[in-house]
Amino acid sequence: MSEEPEETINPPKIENAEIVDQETSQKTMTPGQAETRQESQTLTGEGTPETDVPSVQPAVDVTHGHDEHSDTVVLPFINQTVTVPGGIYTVVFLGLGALTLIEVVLGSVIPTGSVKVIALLAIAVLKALLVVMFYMHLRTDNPIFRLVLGLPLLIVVLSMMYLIAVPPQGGLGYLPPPGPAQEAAAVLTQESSAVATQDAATDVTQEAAAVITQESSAVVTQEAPADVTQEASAVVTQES
Amino acid sequence: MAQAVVAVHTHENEKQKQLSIANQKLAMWLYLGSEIVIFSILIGGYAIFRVNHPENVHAVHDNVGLVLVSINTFLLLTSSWAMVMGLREIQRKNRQGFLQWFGAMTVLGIIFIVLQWYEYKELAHLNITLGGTAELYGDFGSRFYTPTAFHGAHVIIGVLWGLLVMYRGYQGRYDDNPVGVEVFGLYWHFVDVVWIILFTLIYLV
Repeated sequence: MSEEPEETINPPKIENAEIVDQETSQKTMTPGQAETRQESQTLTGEGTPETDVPSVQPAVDVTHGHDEHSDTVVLPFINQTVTVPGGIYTVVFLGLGALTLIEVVLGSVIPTGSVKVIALLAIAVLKALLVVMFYMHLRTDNPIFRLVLGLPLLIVVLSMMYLIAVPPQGGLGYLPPPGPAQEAAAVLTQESSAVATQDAATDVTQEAAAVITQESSAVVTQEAPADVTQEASAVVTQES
Repeated sequence: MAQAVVAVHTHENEKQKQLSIANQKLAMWLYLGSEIVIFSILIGGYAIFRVNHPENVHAVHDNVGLVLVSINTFLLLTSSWAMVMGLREIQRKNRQGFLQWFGAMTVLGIIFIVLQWYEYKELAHLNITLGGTAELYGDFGSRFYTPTAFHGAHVIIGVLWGLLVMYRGYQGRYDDNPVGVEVFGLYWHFVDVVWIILFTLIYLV
């Protein structure tokens, strides 16, 4: 924060607060600049001094560091300074375009598999992060916004992982159609069940036949003595 | 003494202003949090279908090209860049620059919607529709159209909202306080992020 002249008002202390200069470079004011520009600390015009306006501090830009308004960007990893119109926004845009191109090439060339899925999803997440951090200013904004975004995102990711990983037998009741291996196993199960059923039926039939045979034998045995008795009676009658 | 009183009032107004800015942005972030849940449900529905019916998805990929949807993706990314450049200009009190960038953003959004409609037509010719799909593609239709059409509706709303923001910016309402532009920007960038995920998951994976 730069020093204020005596007549000006100290702005409230706000996190990540930067004083936005009205010049095109949007530099943070140094104490020396603040003193020389005391008369032009307003929000109007192109930096023209407004002598009738009370000396107040211009509205503090709570959202952006001054580097996001500068055309000069320090590239990460290579620590190279470049000057492009639009500054960091243009650099991020070019990065997003390059990543999209890589995605399309990977999607067209690599055969479907876990490598392809992981690579593409990683690039997508990186692109999303670039947009969220730089375009949505989450990098420089109030940290509470990260919580507001991150908490539902975390819950959603965990839920998705669970839904995709849940076993196909039962779980949420979702039973996908069987794959080739499962179909073969099902056929085998059916065949073995059919054989068991046939065997069981055969056993039952045999048992039933045995029972019938016993019963018929018993009947014959019962009838036979009756026949013998009649024959014996007939013989006795004849003899008498 | 009078100057001190004015100074105190101005200080209080400034404080109120900063609080208002923070509240508006927090409200938009909370709304985006709810949108994350809604879109995730739709995306999750597609993801589960993708895991369990890969043959249907492969059949669609074999018959549907990537050129149109890739162009669409570049258009939306460019519109996102135009949006943030417009915000940058209005924060520099450059109303003319703001209108130019926002105009570009709106035009790109409209082209995206038109191309998306054209792609839906092409898919309909392949008999991939919301209600029913050719046997080759299984139930791909409903899993595809639900998230993409919901996203398309968000783009349409964004374009209309962007036109409103442009109009208000033209009237000079954002010269002193561009938070309205920034809040709209959060929404537009979120729509872009959703498309990044949808494009990768549906068309590439």
